[in-house]
Amino acid sequence: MRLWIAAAAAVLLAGPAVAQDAGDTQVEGGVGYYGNDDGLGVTSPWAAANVNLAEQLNVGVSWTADAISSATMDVVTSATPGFRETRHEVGLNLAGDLRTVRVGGGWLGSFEIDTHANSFFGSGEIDLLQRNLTLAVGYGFSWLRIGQVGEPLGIWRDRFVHQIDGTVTLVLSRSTIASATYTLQLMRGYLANPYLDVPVFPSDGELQVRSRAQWVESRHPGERDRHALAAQIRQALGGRVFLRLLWRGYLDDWAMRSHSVELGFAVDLGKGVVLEVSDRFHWQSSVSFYRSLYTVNRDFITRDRRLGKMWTDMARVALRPRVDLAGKRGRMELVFAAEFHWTHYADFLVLEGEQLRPAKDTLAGVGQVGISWDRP
Amino acid sequence: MSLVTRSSLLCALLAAVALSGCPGPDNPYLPYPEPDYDEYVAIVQPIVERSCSNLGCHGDLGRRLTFYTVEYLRAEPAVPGAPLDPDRLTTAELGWNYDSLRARLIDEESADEARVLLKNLDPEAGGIVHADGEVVWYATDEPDYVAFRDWIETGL
Repeated sequence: MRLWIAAAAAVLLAGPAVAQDAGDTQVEGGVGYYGNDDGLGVTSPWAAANVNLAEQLNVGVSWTADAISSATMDVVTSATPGFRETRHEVGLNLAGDLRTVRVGGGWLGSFEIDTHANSFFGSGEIDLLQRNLTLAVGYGFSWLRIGQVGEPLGIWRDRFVHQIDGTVTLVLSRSTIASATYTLQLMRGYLANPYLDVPVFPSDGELQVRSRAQWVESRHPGERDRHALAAQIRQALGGRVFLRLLWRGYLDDWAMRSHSVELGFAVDLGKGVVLEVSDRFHWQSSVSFYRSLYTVNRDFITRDRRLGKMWTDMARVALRPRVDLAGKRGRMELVFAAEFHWTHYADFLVLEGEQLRPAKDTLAGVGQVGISWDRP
Repeated sequence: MSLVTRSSLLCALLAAVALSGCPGPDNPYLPYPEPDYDEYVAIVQPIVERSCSNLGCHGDLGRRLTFYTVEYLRAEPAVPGAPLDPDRLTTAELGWNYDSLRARLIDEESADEARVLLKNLDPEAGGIVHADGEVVWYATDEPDYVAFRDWIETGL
């Protein structure tokens, strides 16, 4: 759930470039809706503003909310009642240009009823070889406090995340740009989900039904080192069609591996309208301690289906009409986007009544409407 | 160089070369804590009977924490159709209740902070909100609270 929200926010907030000249202002906002057949619905309004305070100094603020309603806290067993909650995320960022070097940094805070998160990030980017080569590095640190609804803050648990990434971007020709990114993420602290209790079934060979299971809290290792390598190529085909091909490989020390491939097109339809179409396929193995069914208690035990073997496909189509406003009132861009997600959990069992059964595929739809205004 | 650091470096190397994966952490069998069983039967089971086990609460097999009691929920007899003593739980029923509770004590470091204890204590007195807003104890000097806490301590 959170992964989608983060991904959606990243897509939506990416938007057009930041204000360039002193006094330039960019304002944007919109709303997205995510719904899936697990009974989860998320409405996400957002707003952001960027302003150039001085020639080379840009300041931005952002706000996002996720109003979440779910049929159950726990899609594993549907044993818990539904809930409604709202997450608010606010951000502040600074960016500056020093000739061929660009630096930036900021803070992002996220607050909901059972999780508080503060993230700090910084980045640097330099252009070389007449801007045909760009090197970028970034570092981020997040501190999360995680509890359950109703728990006093004093017994919430900590999670710390460090992330370092480096990107090389190379202009191969007037129509081709290639880039590669390596990301290292170090997670420490409480890495489980406090709501996902795990049933431990008897190992005596008798019927493994709900009423014979003992439930324990999920427990994950307190450290996770994650590595990802991504390669992307962007190709202009003629003057109106742009192709993007991305591959991303991932592994971690919980023995998960994944591969993602994304193919996207952007087509300039004329009169300021751009059509974007993309499809992303993701496959992952399970972590080493994941089991579809546990018959003994172990050091590490989980019912997080996202740690199991799964594959997912995400198709997206977006239309971006752009309008130059009369006089010096700038430019306005609209975004209408729709996504369709299909996810298959290959080795996940759910409890339906007394019985275990294989999980059905999850289908989800996303709709997004946004507007941005660049005012010189 | 610590084992974790070496493992991390190894993973990084593998990522660069082939994305072939790491074996993952060792994951041995973890026994449940072992608080005193006789004390459970003599002292804690009566508390559970009084406070937790009606059919709308933890006397419901649909819950993740379920207790058998003579008054509400009974297990199927080992021999189908055999009569159950209406005044006494079977050893299997008591064993189930004991296992259900001690399974909730894994990772607890202190009896005073055990979630299974605090979830029954009034939040005003330092407890944690129960799912149904239920409060069993209103103060930490109530005899049942003290007895339950002392029993947990025998297993930590």
